[in-house]
Amino acid sequence: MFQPFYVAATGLSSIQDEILDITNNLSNAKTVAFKKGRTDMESLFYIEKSFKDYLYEAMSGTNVPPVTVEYGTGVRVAGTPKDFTQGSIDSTGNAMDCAISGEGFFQVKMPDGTLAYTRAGNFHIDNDGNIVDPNGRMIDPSIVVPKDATAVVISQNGTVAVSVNNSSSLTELGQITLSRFTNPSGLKSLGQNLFQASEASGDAVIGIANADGFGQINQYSLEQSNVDVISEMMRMVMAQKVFDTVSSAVKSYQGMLTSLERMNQA
Amino acid sequence: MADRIFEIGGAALDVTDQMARKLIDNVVHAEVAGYRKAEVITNSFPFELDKAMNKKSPMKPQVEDSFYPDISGTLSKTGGKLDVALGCEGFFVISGPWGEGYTRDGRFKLDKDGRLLTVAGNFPVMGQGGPIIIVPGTEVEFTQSGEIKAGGIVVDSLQILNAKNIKSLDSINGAVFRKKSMNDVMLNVENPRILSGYFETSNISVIDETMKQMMLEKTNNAITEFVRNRSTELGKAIDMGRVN
Repeated sequence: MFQPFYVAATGLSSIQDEILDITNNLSNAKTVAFKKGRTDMESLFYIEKSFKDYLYEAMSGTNVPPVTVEYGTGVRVAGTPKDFTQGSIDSTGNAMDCAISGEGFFQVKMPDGTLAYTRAGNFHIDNDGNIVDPNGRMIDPSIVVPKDATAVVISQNGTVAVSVNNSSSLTELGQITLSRFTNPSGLKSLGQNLFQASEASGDAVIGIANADGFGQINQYSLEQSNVDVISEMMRMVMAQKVFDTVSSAVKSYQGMLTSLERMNQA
Repeated sequence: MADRIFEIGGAALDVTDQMARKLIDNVVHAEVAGYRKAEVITNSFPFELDKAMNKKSPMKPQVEDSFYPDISGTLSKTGGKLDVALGCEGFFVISGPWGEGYTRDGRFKLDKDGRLLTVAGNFPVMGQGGPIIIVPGTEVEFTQSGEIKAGGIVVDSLQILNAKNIKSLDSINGAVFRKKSMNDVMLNVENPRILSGYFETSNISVIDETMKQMMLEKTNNAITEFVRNRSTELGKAIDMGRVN
């Protein structure tokens, strides 16, 4: 009798998760290289008959016409994959800002020695001259910029070179390595624009920029978030409407049950 | 003497209850890609009367079947390389524990071994040559005709089938269907049209469902009111016949 309430609860809960995902996307609309999430829902499996039907059939013999009505058991969130479509690339004028146009990821070394992957190229130089991300994690392999360097030049293939004491000649320091994944949507989000390889994403394929689809590195630029605020607002409106409709359907069903109670009070 | 009004009223309330369940079922799936709304089929009164005259069933309305109208959902643009929508009739073919399944939900993903899977349920997507496998690390692209290119080379084509009789499909979860019997025929869709970067949404119209819900509530209230009045009338009749 009360199954519809449970079914509605799964719907309300899933839509609530979707609204949370949309809110997170909107909050990160200005985060460098943020990749928006999507809430993928799937329906739960169906039951063909209610218990009442089975009971009725069992009690009344074989002359019961076959009931082929199917009832759903609700809906659930199947996953919240990241959408790795390219964000727009904006010029910043900062020599340590790098944007990837393509599918690659920068590699950074975590405190525990493992690698994490990021699209955010807002790098800095720390006290020791290492190229680091905004949270001080070194890129991998590490590249050390000498203290007397007056200009840093990062080419499209990731080669880092410096000019020392305003010299016109450049000294090559190393090359930024990129990674890519068979299924980037399967990467595990660590926060702070970082991702970790998972079983779903597969192992990182390591390479260099400007080759094999890794994309090219653009110095003096940053990749912007790929969140489209208008689309997210539309998603929010639709999710709210569905939430309201499910709530209204529950209220209506409750009204029907109340009507039944009143009938009994006659 | 049993009053048939109560029996018929009870059956009608059972029908509205089942309709309400279906309605809630539909609205909670409004955001599920590829979901097909279900409608309850009830038998009309004359048909039931005929059945009753032939003593096949009692004279009361009855839910007999579910029906999945063949209306497409709208397309949602994602730009995702692994999101595809059908711009034609038919279904993508997937492989599940029940055997072959059919869906219009084109949200796909790759696993670490390069197998193309559905986002919902992780079921392998079938191509003309069986499960579709992409060499890990290569760039995937779907052409308008359903060819799958990996690194610019065609590796397979999506298998797109349509049921000869749409009623021969049985729903597994409203978004995935299967053949009701082995004898049902699925036909190959000639010249399919595939749209990459889109997926098909549920075909639920929230407005339609809201209108249906209002009608249903009113119908239910009318039936309960009718039964209540009948009960009151019977009560009065009993009182009238009571010896003081």
